[in-house]
Amino acid sequence: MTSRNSFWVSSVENHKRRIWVWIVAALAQIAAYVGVLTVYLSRVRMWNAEGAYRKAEEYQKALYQATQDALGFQDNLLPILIGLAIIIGMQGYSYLYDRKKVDMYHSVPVDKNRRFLVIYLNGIIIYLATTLASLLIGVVLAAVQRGVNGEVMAVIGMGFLWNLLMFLVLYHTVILAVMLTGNRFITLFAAGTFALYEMMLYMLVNTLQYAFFETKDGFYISNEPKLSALTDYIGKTWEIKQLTSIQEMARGTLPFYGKWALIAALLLTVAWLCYRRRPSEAAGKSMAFPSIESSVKVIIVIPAAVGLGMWVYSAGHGNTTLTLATMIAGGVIGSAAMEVIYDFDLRSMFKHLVSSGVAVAGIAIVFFIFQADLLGYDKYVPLQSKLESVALTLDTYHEFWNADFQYISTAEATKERMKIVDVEPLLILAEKAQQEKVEDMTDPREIHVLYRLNSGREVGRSFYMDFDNPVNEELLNKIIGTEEYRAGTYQIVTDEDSFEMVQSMTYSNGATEVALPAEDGAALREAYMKDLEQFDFTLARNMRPCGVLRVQFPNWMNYSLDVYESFENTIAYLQSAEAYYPVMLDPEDIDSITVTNYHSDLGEEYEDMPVYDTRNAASFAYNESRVVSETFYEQEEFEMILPVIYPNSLSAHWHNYKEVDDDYDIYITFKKDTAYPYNRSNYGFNYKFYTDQVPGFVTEATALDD
Amino acid sequence: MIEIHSLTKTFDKIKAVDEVSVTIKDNTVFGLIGTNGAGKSTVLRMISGVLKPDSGTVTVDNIPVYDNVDAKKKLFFIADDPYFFANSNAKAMERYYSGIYEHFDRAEFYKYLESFNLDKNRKIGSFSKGMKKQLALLLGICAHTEYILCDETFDGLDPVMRQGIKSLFAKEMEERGLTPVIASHNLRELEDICDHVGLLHKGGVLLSKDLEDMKCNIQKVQCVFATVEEELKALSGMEVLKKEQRGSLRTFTVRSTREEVAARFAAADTVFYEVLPLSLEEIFISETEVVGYDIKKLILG
Repeated sequence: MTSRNSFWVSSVENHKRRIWVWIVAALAQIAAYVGVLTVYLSRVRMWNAEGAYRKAEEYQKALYQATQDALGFQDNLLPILIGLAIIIGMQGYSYLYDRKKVDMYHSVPVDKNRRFLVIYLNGIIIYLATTLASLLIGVVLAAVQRGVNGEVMAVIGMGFLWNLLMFLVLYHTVILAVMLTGNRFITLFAAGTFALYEMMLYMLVNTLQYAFFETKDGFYISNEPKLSALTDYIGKTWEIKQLTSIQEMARGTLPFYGKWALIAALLLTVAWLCYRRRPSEAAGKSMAFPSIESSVKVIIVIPAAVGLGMWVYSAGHGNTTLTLATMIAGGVIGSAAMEVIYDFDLRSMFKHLVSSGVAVAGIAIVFFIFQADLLGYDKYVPLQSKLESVALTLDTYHEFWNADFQYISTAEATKERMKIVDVEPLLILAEKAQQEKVEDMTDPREIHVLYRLNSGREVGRSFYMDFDNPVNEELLNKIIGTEEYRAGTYQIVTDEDSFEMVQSMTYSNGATEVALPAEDGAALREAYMKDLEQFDFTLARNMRPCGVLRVQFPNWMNYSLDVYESFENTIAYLQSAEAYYPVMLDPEDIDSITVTNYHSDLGEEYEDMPVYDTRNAASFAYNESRVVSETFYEQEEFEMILPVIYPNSLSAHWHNYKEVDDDYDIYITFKKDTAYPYNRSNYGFNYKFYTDQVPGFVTEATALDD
Repeated sequence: MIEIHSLTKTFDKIKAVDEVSVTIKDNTVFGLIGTNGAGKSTVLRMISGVLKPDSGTVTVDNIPVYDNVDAKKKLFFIADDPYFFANSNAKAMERYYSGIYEHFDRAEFYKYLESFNLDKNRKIGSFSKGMKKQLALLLGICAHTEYILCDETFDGLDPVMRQGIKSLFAKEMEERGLTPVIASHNLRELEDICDHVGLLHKGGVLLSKDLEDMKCNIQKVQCVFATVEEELKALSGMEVLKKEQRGSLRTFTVRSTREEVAARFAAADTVFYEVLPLSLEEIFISETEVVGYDIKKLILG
C-alpha cells in the first residue's frame, strides 16, 4: 500500500479540523481591510460631493490616502491581530489540553517536530491567505475607484510586513503560553502576562519612582519597555502612518522589523523546546511544567501586589503604612490564589509556603528600595569628571520643528541639540537642590536635566530651585549665557535653512499685529541672534517682553520669539520696517477700558469655593455673585490705567508671576477711527494690572456693594 | 516482543506505576488485569509512547518507544475512551489513520465496517459507546500494526460483538502474527481470550504468567479419605495452596500437574475423589492469596 504519510497530507488533514478558524480569520480580515477601506473611500467620495476638495489633485490625494490608511498602516488593526493570534495559536495546539486527544496524537507514529511544524505553518497559512486575499480584494476595489498608485502599493506592502511581524510575535507568544499551560483560561492568562509583563513592570517602576523619588523625571529619559513589540506597535503604528514619504516610512519601520523578527524567533524557539519537553500528562492541568510553578508565582505575585499597594497609595493620599500592609496582604493572598489556580483546589492555598514567603519578602524589599530610597536615587548627582555634557530645560515654551516643518517636542529637540560642557554651575544647582526644601522657596521652578556620562549612559533628573535666590540667578546666568544653551533652546540659532523659507512674519506688542516682509526672514534672524548673545536669566527675570515676533513656515508651522526692550538689533530692524510699537498704549487711541474685579480674596467670607492652586499660578477663586465690572471712558482715567497694565497675549515665562494681579481683567477697546495698527480682527484686548499698582479709582469703582 | 523493565511513573507525588517489569511475547494475547488505579492505563500509555517513564525502559522489538516513530509504527493504542475528530465519521477517521499507518488496509476496514453494521457516513458523535469501541478496534486492526494495545476496550461490548472482535483477533494473529495487549479491570473479560496475564496492583506487578502454565500447574481435588493417615500420605510433598473441609469432604487446591494429582489420589485409600477443572478466577484467587492478597476484593468485586 502506498504511504500517504507526507507532510502535505498531514497539513491537509490538519486544515480539515481548522475550518472554523479559516472562516473566523477570513471574516475578520475582510472586515478589517475591505470593510474599513469601503468606509474610508465612501467618506472621501461624500466629502468630495460636498465640495471639500477644491482641486481634482486634492481629491485624488485623499483617495490614495484613504486606501493607504485602510490597507497599509491601520492603527485599529491590533485587536484583530491579537484575536487571530489567540484563535489560531490556541486552536492549533488545543489537543494538548485534552487527555483523550493527547493519547491519540502522541501514540500515532508522527514525528513530534513534524506535528509542531505542520500545526505552526498551517496557522501562518491561515493568516497569510486570509490577509492577502482581503488585501487583494481591497486593492481591486480601491483601483476601481482610482485609489491606488505605486506609492500606495509600497505602503500597503510595508504595512503588510509590519502587521505580519506583529502577528508572528503575538502568535508565538500564544504558542509559548499553550506549551507552558494545560488549560485554556490559564493559557490566556499566560499569553496576556507574556505580552504585557514588561510593559506593566515599567509602568509599576515609573509609578514607584514618581511616588517616592523627588528627582524622578521622565522628560528626557522615559522608562519604556525595551523588548515589548506590543508597546512598539501601539506607539509607532500611528506615528509611521503620519510620515509622508515612503523613504521615511521605510526608515521608521526597518529597526522594528529586525527587532520583532528576533523576538518572534526567540519565542518560537522557546515554544518549540517546551513542546519537545512537555509531558503528555500536562493535559488539563494549569501548568505543564510543575518545576517552574514557584518561580512563576513569585514573578507574578510581586508586581501584582506592589501594583495593588500603589493603587492604595494613590487612593489613600500617600499613606505608606497602609500601602505596605496592602502589598503584604496582596502577596499572601496572591500566593495562595496562585496555588489554588495551579491545583484547581482551594485546599492547596497553603502549599509551597517557602516560595510564598519569598514573594512576600520580595514585595517588602521592593517597597523599601523605593520608599526609603535604598539605592540613593534622589541623591544622585554625577561627578564632574564623569560627565561629558548636560542638557536642561527650564520651560517648554519654545517651538522646535524637523526638516518637514513638523513640530517636535522640546525634550527631543533639546536632547539632540544642547550639549553644555561647562557642567559645574548645573552640578552646583543640583547639589544645592538637595539641601533646600520646595516649601521654603518663594518662586520654585522645576528644571529638567539630562546628564550625559562619559560612559555613554544618559541619566534624566528634575529638581526644584528658587528663581528668587540670587545664588541661583548667578548660576543660571552662567548656564543660559552659553552658546550651547542658546543652540539647544532657540531653533533660530541652529536652523538657517528654515529662515530662507519663511512664509510670513508679524510683530505684536499685545495689541498690534504688523506684517513684516517674508523675505526679511534671514535679516531678522541675524538681528535676533545678536540680541540673544546678551540674553541671560537676569534679563528675563527682571524684564517683561515688549512684544512677540511670529514667524510662519511651510506646513502651517508657527514660531514665536519674545522681544525685549534691550534687544536693540531686533528693535532697530522692526523700527526700520515700521512695525515696532511700544507695549504701552497711547490714551488717544483708546475708546474704553473695562475692568473686571473678581474679588477672589473674599471667597472664604462668602462661601466655600474651589481654590485652584498650582505651583506656577496664583490662587484664584471665581464666584459670579461677587464679580464687579466697570467701564471707563475718560482720557484721564486711561492715562492712569495704561502705564500699569500688561497684555495677556505676551508671556513672561521667567518673570515673577506674582507681579501681575490675577484678580482683575482688563478689556481694552480701540477707537474705530484711530490710525493705530491694532489687530482689527479682534474686538478687544485683554490686559492685567501689575500687582499693587491698581489705581485707586479703579478699586473704588469695582468695589463690592454691601 | 515488548519488554518492560523497571518501569516507574509518578503523578503529583503518587506512584502510579512502580518498578513494573513484564515481557509481552509476540503472537500471544496479553491480559493486563488490575483494579481501577492499579496502573494499567499508565502502563499502556507508556508502552504506546504517550507517557515518558520517570525511570525504566519500554522497548518494542528492542526499539525504545518514547518519542520514536519507528517503534510507534508497530503499535496501535486504543484508549479507554478513544478520541475521534469532532463531527467526523468512520470514513474521515479511516482517511486520517490510513495517512499515518503505512499498512492500513482500507478495503478490509470497509469490509469489517459492513460486517459490524457500522455506517461509514454516520457521525461518530451519534454512535453508542459500544459502537465507538468497535470502530476504534476496527481502525486498530486494519492499521496492521504488530501490536494493538486496548485499554478497557472490551467493556461495554455486547457478547456478540466481543465474540466478533475476538474472532478478528484470532484471524489476525494467525494471518500476520498480531499481538493484542488488553487491559481490563475484570478478569472474566479476559478469561477466554488471553494467553498470558499480568496482574497489576497498586502500581506493581503481583504476577505475570502464561494461563496454560497456571491452569496446568494448579489443580482442585475433592475427596473423602478413609483415614487421616491416608490424607497425610496423599498430600505429602505436594504444595497445598488451599484446603476446605465440609464434614468428611475435603477440597484441596494444590500446585501440581493433573496427572500427578490423579496418580497420588488413586494410590491413596479414598472413599471418593475427583480432580475438578479450575476457572481462571479460582486460579487467580489461589495464586494471589499465596502472596497475601485477597484477589476477590481486587478484581472480582
